[in-house]
Amino acid sequence: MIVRMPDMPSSDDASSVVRFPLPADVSVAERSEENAWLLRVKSAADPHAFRRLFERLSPRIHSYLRRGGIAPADAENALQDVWLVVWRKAAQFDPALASARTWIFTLVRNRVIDLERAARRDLRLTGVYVEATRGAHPDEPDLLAQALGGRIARVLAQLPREQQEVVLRCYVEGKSQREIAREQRVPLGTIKSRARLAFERLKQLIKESA
Amino acid sequence: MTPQHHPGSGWLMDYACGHLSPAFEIVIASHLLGCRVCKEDLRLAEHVGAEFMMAGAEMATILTADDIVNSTAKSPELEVWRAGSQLPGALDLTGLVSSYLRISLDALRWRGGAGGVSIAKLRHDDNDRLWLLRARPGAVLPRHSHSGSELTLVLQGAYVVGDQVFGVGALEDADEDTWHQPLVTTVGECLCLAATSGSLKFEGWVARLVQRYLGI
Repeated sequence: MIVRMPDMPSSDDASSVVRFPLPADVSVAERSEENAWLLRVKSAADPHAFRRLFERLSPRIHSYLRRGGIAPADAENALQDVWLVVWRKAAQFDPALASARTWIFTLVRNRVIDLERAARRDLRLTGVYVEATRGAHPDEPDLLAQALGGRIARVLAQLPREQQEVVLRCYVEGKSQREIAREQRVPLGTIKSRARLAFERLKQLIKESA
Repeated sequence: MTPQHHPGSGWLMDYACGHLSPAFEIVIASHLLGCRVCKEDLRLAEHVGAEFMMAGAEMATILTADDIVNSTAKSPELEVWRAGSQLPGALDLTGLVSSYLRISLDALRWRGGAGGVSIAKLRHDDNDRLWLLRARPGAVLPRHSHSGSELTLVLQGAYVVGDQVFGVGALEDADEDTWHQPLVTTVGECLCLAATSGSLKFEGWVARLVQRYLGI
């Protein structure tokens, strides 16, 4: 079943709108709220809606930037840039393409890319986040669930260990498949296959749980 | 038109998280311009990324919402959507050369030419390089195996490897342990955009051309 986001424009032409399937337990209500706030910012430059969105997302984005190895001052500057864009360019938000948090995630990512390229060096703190959060037993599902607030974790926990590993190294540690291959001393092709299998399974599980 | 050959999901996850060097990012972004299938997968990869971002710990910020609302600072130069996220499904990929890459083919410094194949370097960042390749109809590209990373996107024309045809928009994600001898179809000139990683152990077909013509 595909869950329609409440704020999506209705359309008779199904192919023109991507209806994103959401897992039932992955913060559907939160996403809808955030979409509604951002649409208020978009349509009416509503500062109250903006404040609510800011207050929900900012502390998460901040910690995401910091565990990505961005220095405190750079993280605050990056946050400011991202939020200025959200406030001033909300007109470009299209809930049919992505939810508010996904749209903002792409802005954060783009800012991080700019920062890394400007610095022309690797800013990431290798492994610190995962090791610190997941403790001595990296694949212990409870710790994993805790680390991820029980959201994606439930879906992820259903993947084979090696595939979980690739997803976590990518999304949590910020490593590319090439870096993962090098670090784990396995052929790149093996990591590519694990990533492909993990992604297909994630897609399927997310659809099933929707 | 939807291309038949796509980057593996790992590439899209890397793209979604901003892990790629410019050379590889440009090749993936260019494929995304013309590929609806991968664009949808990219949205899923970004969706998962947003969930990971939101699932992490909270960390207070000095910045407040009022600072933003009341700010008179100049708007930051931040790209709102990357190419893969916003554009419609079908694009003329040959237009990439002038519009996206902002270069004219003739202005490039082409090397080689023997056997109807020439190559030009577009950029070089740390260990990764971005190339344009031009091959005459019917040209035979060096026989090779793959190791490391090499992504090749067909911008114009087509080449054939065994019984597989790589046409406009197709992306060849080089796999290890495969021997290839690409053959350019006789229909027209073949133009490819390719990213290579900087291992000195060059084995991809683009890399072989580089070795042959540039002597690296």
